[in-house]
Amino acid sequence: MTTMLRADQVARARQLLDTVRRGCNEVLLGQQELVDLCVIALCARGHLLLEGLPGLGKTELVKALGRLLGLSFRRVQFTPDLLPGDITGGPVLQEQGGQRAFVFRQGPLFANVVLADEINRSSPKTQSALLEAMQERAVTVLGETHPLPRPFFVLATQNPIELEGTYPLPEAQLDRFLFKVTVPGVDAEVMTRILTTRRRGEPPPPTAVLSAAELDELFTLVDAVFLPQAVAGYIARLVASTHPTATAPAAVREAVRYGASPRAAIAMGEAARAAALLAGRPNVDFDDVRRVAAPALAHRLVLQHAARIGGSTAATIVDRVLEAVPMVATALPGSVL
Amino acid sequence: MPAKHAAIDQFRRRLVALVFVDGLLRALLALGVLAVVVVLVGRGFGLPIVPAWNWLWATPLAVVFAAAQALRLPLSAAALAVHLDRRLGLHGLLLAQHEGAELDPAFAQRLDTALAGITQALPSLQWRRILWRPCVVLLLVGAVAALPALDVPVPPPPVAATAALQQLEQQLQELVGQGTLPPEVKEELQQRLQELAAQVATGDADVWRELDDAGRRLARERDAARPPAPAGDGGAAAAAASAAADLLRQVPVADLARAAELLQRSGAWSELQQAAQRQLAAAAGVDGTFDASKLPVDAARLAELARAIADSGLLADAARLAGALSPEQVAELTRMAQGFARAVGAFDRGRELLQRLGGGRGAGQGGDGKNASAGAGAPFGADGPGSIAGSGAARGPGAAALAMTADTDGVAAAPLELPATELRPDDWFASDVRRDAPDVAPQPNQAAGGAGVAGSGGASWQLQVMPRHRGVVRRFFDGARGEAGDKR
Repeated sequence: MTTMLRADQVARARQLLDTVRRGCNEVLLGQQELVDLCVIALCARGHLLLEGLPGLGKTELVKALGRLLGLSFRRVQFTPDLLPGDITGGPVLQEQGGQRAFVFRQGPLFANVVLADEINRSSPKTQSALLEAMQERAVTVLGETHPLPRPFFVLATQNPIELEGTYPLPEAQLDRFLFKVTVPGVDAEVMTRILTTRRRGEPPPPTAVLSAAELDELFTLVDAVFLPQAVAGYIARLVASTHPTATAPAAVREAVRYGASPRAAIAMGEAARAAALLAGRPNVDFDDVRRVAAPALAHRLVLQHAARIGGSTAATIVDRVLEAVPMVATALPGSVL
Repeated sequence: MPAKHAAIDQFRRRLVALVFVDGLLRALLALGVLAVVVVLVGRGFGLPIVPAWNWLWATPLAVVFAAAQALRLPLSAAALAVHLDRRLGLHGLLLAQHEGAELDPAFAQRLDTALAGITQALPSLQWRRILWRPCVVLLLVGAVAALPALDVPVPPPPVAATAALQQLEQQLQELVGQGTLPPEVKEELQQRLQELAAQVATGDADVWRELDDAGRRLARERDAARPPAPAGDGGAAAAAASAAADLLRQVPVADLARAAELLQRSGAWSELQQAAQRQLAAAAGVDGTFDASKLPVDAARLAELARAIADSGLLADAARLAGALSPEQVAELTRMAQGFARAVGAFDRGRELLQRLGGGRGAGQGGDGKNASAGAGAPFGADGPGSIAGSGAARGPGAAALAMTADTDGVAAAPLELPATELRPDDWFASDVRRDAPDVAPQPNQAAGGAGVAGSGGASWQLQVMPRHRGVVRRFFDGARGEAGDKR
């Protein structure tokens, strides 16, 4: 028999998470849902891709997360001329004791939290240098593999406009991100608060609210969240429905070229655990899955060109999938309420 | 049983019941639509199909369908747990426990609290979605019932039956014209003829039997209403015969059997006349009782039998009988003896009356069947002076010689009460009872010319070939033989 989290453990996890959320919300005003998704992604130990217009606070949010978690933080500004060695590091010739030797010099990837700012502006060569780091949590240079510090998060941002001179991330790269979150704009009230509470828009300097031990404890609690088989089956059916097969929803058949991978299902399961803990539950519920479905699935769908031209977006397709796939595999008869 | 299992079972029971009701309404809708379609299609083909109450025998089909729907409800316990979890707003707590997870006491208490209010979460029928089905059925059936009756062309009545009916009506009018028909009989006959007219109009196949029955009934009424024959001719004899027949019916046959039984029980049986003993012994049963239906049906013999018992003097010797019979039985025997005496007296008076009226013609004329005296002699049977000359043997009251040249008048047409009988005569007996198959010797079905058919080749010559073809057939086979011989 599986032992679920105790009530005090759930309360403790929620307290830690609320601390992080509160700190983020102090930095980024009026973006509670965005902050929650970021916290969920971090608790699930996944990488996060933030997409939004300039000036919405993406970079500030990532910087705040890094500092709030008390982890080492590096920022890399991705440009077209950025080379893989610029982020991974490389051997440099050093003279030690009268002898010259190549010594590996760590790049900016060797941090707990790496901000890949405007990641789509670097060349595919440099983008692909992130693949191993994101998946294996290691960097291989000149045949030598160098493990990255744990935990390791890549928080990337990209601009959906100004596509000239950019290199859209390949599907394999996108698949490594747990979430792709679109940063929404803020309303006038939030902007008024920003203007009145912040001098030159600078947020208050965040301080670390979690220690390394607390972060490990938080990760342990997330791993202990119970995922019922019925909910796992729901995740599997959702992911399977994104493939344009005969049994898929009509929107998927018409607009999707390739569906989500099993890695998407794994990501959804992990994210749902974190979402359940954030909601104060010792087990995953269907609502947790639905909450993380859009940010976890949308960037993994490859749409048909005609559908994109027709205005379909991956987010709307995911919404259609959520509408079409019932939470319970066997529904009650239609006449029963 | 843990609370969660009980809750899931309760949820399942409610769900099965609701599915049954839903399936029943669906099936009734289908049956109603089918009935309406049948009625409408029947009207389209000119068949006057009308909904009837016996169509409700199809409702067990609806029940069977609903039961099948409910029994094959594809919901496992896990699926039910998921539904119940969501209905109770437990956010997976019930689901986790159902899958074997051990809940913290705080969460378990929350789960138990929620399960206590399960009645609020049990499913119910969406009556707005399903009520249209019985409404549609009622509307359709009502609309069909309100349709005007189908104008079915009625086939013309058969000419012969119509003529026979008209003849019966004419006979009834004649009877009514005589004025002797009782009003109730008249009304009954008129009603009967009206019913027959309706049957003839609809072309009923059995109308001829009804017509024959009505004809016989009219004939009986006509005979009953026939005026008495004039005195001096056969009319007085007929009246006397009728009176005698009535007197004969006063002979209590059942009392005869009962008296014989009591006499036998009292031990005075041997003192009866030998002829009476033989006749009574023929009706004796193995249990000491006497079957009245096996006593002679001849009135004269019955009268003689009654006379033999009444005149035996045994009934008057009550003191002697009291030793063997109870006082009630003695009293019964005495009462029956008085009845026998009255019946014998009535019989004798009837015979004298007949002798005075018809005795001039003497024996042999009473039963010639050509006049009214024929029936007069019949009741008095073989022993009477007016016995039937033609037959020479009494055939019971009402028996008369039938002349095939004209209608028979008098008592011949009176109702004849036949004695009770059995389907199998007494002198028949079962010779053998066997359970094995009968031993039969099957004979081959061998027709004429069969030997030729069994042969080869030559059987063709046994066929019936038209004369003008025989030459062709013969040349064909001869040519075939010739060609075969040439090739060889």
